[in-house]
Amino acid sequence: MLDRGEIMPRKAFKFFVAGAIALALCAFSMVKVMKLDGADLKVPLIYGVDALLVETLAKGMIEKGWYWENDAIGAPGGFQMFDFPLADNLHLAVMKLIALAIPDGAAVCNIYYLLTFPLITLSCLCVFRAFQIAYGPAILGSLLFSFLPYHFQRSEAHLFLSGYYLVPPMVMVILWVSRGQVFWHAPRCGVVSRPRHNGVAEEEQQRPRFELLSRRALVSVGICLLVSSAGIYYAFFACYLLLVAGMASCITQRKIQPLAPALVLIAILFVGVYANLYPSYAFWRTHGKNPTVAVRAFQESEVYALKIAQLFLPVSGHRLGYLKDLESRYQQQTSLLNTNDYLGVVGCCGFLLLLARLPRRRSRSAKPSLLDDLLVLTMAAILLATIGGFSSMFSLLVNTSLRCYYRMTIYVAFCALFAVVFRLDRLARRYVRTWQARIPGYAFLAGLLVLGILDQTAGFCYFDYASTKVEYLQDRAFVRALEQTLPPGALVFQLPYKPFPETGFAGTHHLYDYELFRAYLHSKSLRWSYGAMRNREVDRWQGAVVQKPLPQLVETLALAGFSGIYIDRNGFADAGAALEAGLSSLLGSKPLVSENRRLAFFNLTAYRQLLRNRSAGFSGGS
Amino acid sequence: VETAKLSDPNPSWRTEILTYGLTLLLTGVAVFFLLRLGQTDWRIPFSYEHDSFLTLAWTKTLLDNGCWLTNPYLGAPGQLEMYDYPTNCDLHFLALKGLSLFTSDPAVSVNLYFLLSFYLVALTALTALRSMKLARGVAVVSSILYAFLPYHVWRGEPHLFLAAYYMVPLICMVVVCLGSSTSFLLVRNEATGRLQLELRSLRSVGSVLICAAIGWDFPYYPMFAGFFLLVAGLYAWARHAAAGTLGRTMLLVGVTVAGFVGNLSPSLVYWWRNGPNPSPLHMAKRSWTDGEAFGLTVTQLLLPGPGHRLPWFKSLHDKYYAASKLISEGDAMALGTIGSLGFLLLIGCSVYCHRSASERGQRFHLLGVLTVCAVLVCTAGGFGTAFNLLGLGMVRCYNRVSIFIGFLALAAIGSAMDILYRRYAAYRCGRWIGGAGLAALLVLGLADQTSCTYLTPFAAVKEAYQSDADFVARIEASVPKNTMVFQMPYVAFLSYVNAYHRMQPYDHFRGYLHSHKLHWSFGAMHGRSIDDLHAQVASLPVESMLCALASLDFGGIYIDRAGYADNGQELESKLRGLLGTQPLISRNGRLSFFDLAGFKQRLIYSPPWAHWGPGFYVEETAGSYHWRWCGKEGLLYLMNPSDHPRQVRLRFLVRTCRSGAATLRITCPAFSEWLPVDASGSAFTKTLELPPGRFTIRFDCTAAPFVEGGRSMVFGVFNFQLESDS
Repeated sequence: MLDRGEIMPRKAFKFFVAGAIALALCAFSMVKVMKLDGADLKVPLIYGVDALLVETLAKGMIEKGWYWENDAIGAPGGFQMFDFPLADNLHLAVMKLIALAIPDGAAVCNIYYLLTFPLITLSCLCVFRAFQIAYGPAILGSLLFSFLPYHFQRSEAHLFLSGYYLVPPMVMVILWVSRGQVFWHAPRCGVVSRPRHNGVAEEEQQRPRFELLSRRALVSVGICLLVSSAGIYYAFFACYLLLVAGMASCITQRKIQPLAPALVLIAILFVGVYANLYPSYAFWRTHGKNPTVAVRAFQESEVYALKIAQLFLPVSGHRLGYLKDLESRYQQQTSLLNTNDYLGVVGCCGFLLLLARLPRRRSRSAKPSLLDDLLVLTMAAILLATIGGFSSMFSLLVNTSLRCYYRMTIYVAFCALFAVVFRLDRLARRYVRTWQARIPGYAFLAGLLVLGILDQTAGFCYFDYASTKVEYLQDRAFVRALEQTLPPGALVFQLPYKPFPETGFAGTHHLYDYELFRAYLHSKSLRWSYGAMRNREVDRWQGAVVQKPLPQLVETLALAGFSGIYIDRNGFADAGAALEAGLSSLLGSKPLVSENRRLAFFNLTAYRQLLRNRSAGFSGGS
Repeated sequence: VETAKLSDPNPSWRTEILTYGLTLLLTGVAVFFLLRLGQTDWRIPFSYEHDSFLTLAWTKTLLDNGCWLTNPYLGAPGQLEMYDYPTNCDLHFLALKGLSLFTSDPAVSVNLYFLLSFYLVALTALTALRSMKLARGVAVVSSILYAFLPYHVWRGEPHLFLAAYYMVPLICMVVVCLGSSTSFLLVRNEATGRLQLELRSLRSVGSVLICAAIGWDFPYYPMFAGFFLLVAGLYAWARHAAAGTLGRTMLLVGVTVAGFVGNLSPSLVYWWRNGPNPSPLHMAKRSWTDGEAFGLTVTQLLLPGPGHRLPWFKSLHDKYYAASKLISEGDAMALGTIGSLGFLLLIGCSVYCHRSASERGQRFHLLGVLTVCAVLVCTAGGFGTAFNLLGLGMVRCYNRVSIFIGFLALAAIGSAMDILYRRYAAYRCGRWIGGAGLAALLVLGLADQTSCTYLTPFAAVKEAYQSDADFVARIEASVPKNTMVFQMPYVAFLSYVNAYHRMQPYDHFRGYLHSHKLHWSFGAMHGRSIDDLHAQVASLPVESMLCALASLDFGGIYIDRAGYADNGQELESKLRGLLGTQPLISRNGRLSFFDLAGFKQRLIYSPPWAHWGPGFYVEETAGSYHWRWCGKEGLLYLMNPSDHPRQVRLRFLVRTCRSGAATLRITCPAFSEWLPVDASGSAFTKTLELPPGRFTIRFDCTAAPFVEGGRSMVFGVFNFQLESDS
């Protein structure tokens, strides 16, 4: 309630101050942990592997409106993402907004990646506050959640996974469902208790009822819609946990109705995901499904499963020597290596705290504790995602599209940190009641925050910005130089031929997926061959062309309208020496070579002219 | 659940005996038909390959010598000493010893014990389930299903001591009792209010005996038992916070550990005297990564068993195992359809029954918590992996906890069936329908859990077994009693490097299994001196090898042709040339034997040679400098292959590992000397007359030891030389 003369409600003001403190701490930690003072935001933080795809999509979105199609790549036909769809339109929409102010692909990716930290911190803080957690523990939990090793492991390469700021709100919705607080309102305790002596009002309050348009219901629907647009993995995990929560609520209340909210929200998530993927479905209806793209085998769900031991294994290059050696030993010797998704020392304590609740006895009339709900979610998450867990059965029996079940870590981590934060909050409520008691309390929280962040972060959180910048600028200079020799809209064929997407190093020596997008990232007016969807018409043509002997290859490319050949020497065992020698003798010219000697370019303009003259001669002769 | 009556209305001994009798009868029928006993011969082992050789050899060792730890018929010229590989199956060895009252044939003993294990498992499971107050019919069905889990047949005779898991239901019964906060063993005296030991009730005495007995079981079972006891104890304590609960837990865990350590004590004494096995390749040395590779997976618990009768289940099973990279011990983990339902029920119960006030509801919760904890620890990459990485874990094959989970799951499904059964048994037709339903469930469950995939084709086993028996009988007829036979190719016993070509690690036991009066070289513990001797001899050129074997008094060479890429042709042709004799060949052409008697007669001018015995470590070299470190005591063997005494001269330098004066006592039948030694070195030269055969010299040093890399080094013998008169 507003006091007389107050501009802002007291609660809102407190939240604003707490949010500002959290954001300030977040920004400070980001600069220190990621050594951002050495970074240039116009240069991608990561310039390689999957980050190149994200940057390509961002650039395509800026230039072409959205990411589905792009005629500047996949030449001569054009790039189409329909066979490799992403349910990440929310992230792309945010990036689009950023691009309105800064229309540069690399900068947009960088800014969005950096923005995920404060966004996660804020969303987490809001959720904790929604459960009445005191500000101190809430800020601590939010920052630790934001700075999880998972965040840095995903980094800009998996930018859309790094943007996990919707996970806390989603868990909040799941907890509401579990506690019977969305759509279906259950009594506060575990079973329907009879009203005792407080009369009709209490009886009314205790009676379960449906409420379709409450604020929580609308918020839940909104969050589910957002989650369905923020990546298939988080949406799928949310569906699974909603189902578990619904069943939990069903069993606890001995009624079938509590399952209904869970099913409704799952349906919303499904609809949202379907809407995100609709362009692909429409495309497949007319063009048929592509059987070679994003094909997963069921056993991959075991390879990319979550390992409980790795939740507890310290980060690579930990600051403590013993822990660093332990992790290094594990990495070197294990045969089941996956990404390290350490929960952090505080998260681990939370995980164990939840496990310790397994045997505890609860009275039937007692109010269900939040920790019990978190325990159910954590157990369910682990049983699904662990190696050979239910995920493996799901992959075997239902669907193999999802394979990286280790990404469930982020839900587990949130539940674990929530448990710690909840316990700290209860301790604070019991023992910290005076200003004198608050000072050591805040000091303890500050110490825990520093310890937690130091424990969760290490050298893997930042990159060699200087060398990335050098490499980036060298590529830029090369592409700019190349553009000066060709007219706008000219086609450039890229060698080695590499199908898009997901072929790893297959057939291309040291050249990994998406490396050929480097040219496009710096280009303003040219059209590039890499990016034609695997096994579609253009890709099949490209694959057939490169099988031809060199003279026929060059001739075919020239006749198809290509004005140049771009060579990434990393894609050849002999660094392209034989190919370049052949091209030099055929074209009678030396290639343009990048400063770092990695890229080479042969101009086909003169050769095309020669062909044109020859064909004119033939027609004249005939 | 709350309204279910938990006790039988008319408990009587006669009915109980009838229940046990019915269980035995049904188990017998199931064993006969499912294991196809009609096609077998008792005197032929059901399995005759891989680990079953080890089981058979241990059993024969027990029958021949009364003890499984040592066997003079193996590891010639020494003996088999199992101390470095403490299998700790004394419980099972006692049972086999009991069977030896009726038969002295190891194959019959092993067959009998394997079959007996089905009955024992069914009976103990019935006891445990009845103690949980399950209705008789339900308990009988659940116990028989438990006895026929895929785990049992998958383990079979090769893993006989794991297959005989009859202690598992009993320890689970104790665990449930402990977790249910029942007051026993350690009770509060009402008069004084203090806790006191109570050993008068059947429950207390029984639980102590069960814990002690499981300490004598195969090491995995006591370890898992300790884990479950701890979890159950903590569970009970978390719910009631009574000091007696913790004390009771500690007592039961203590008894289990004491039984385990007591069982391990011969090995502990051996290691104290001889030091740990120095070989890094010894099988008892496990990598921590095995905990991951042999972990449990939920999927494998739930997948159908091998060769399922339903084609869809079979194809699902085959699809998984054809592609999965994490096979572990595969089908052994399968719980069957009913067990799988029980497992899923328990997972649900672990979180949803925590509010239950009924006894049965609380038991469901306890069983659920035990199952979840087992999964969290034992799953691939679970807490067990972390323990192993930190050096705290002792378990390698965490998947073997599946047999505990199997019992918990069947107990849960049994409890659920019990609720239904009791609800409808009140009506006469309900009882009949219930009985018919249980019978159908038993038949369907057995059909679901069993197949003939892991039953060895009996005709092939019989042929191989009889061929080997016939071959060994022919050898025994051709050589004198107690002749030592050297087995080729050299295979280190219980080493990670133990298989050659088509030969499996324990194939060399074929000779011993059919022999009554010969001594076989295979079975010398890898990493110990006799194994070093075997490796050394086997690495010599064939002619030198024959001389060495003759001087060691070996009377024959046994060759397993499966151990050679060329089927042993090259070796055999050389032996034919050198020995001038033709070998005996087994009926199936796999084994051959050369008699060395004639060769030994010709071998009188070969020079004496030395072999380093127990106490000395492997030789180290630096340029022309070579030495061996030794513990406090060590043995040196000098071999004189001729039939007359030879004059030899020993020359070497002795150095202690630590500085300070000490003495080295060198004793043998010919002399006894005290040599003052220190870290700078003392020279020793001696001329002596070496009698024919083996001559032993003993070293005993008073210097302080230096411990490094698992070796306790006291002194070293440097640049050893043995010169003979010729």
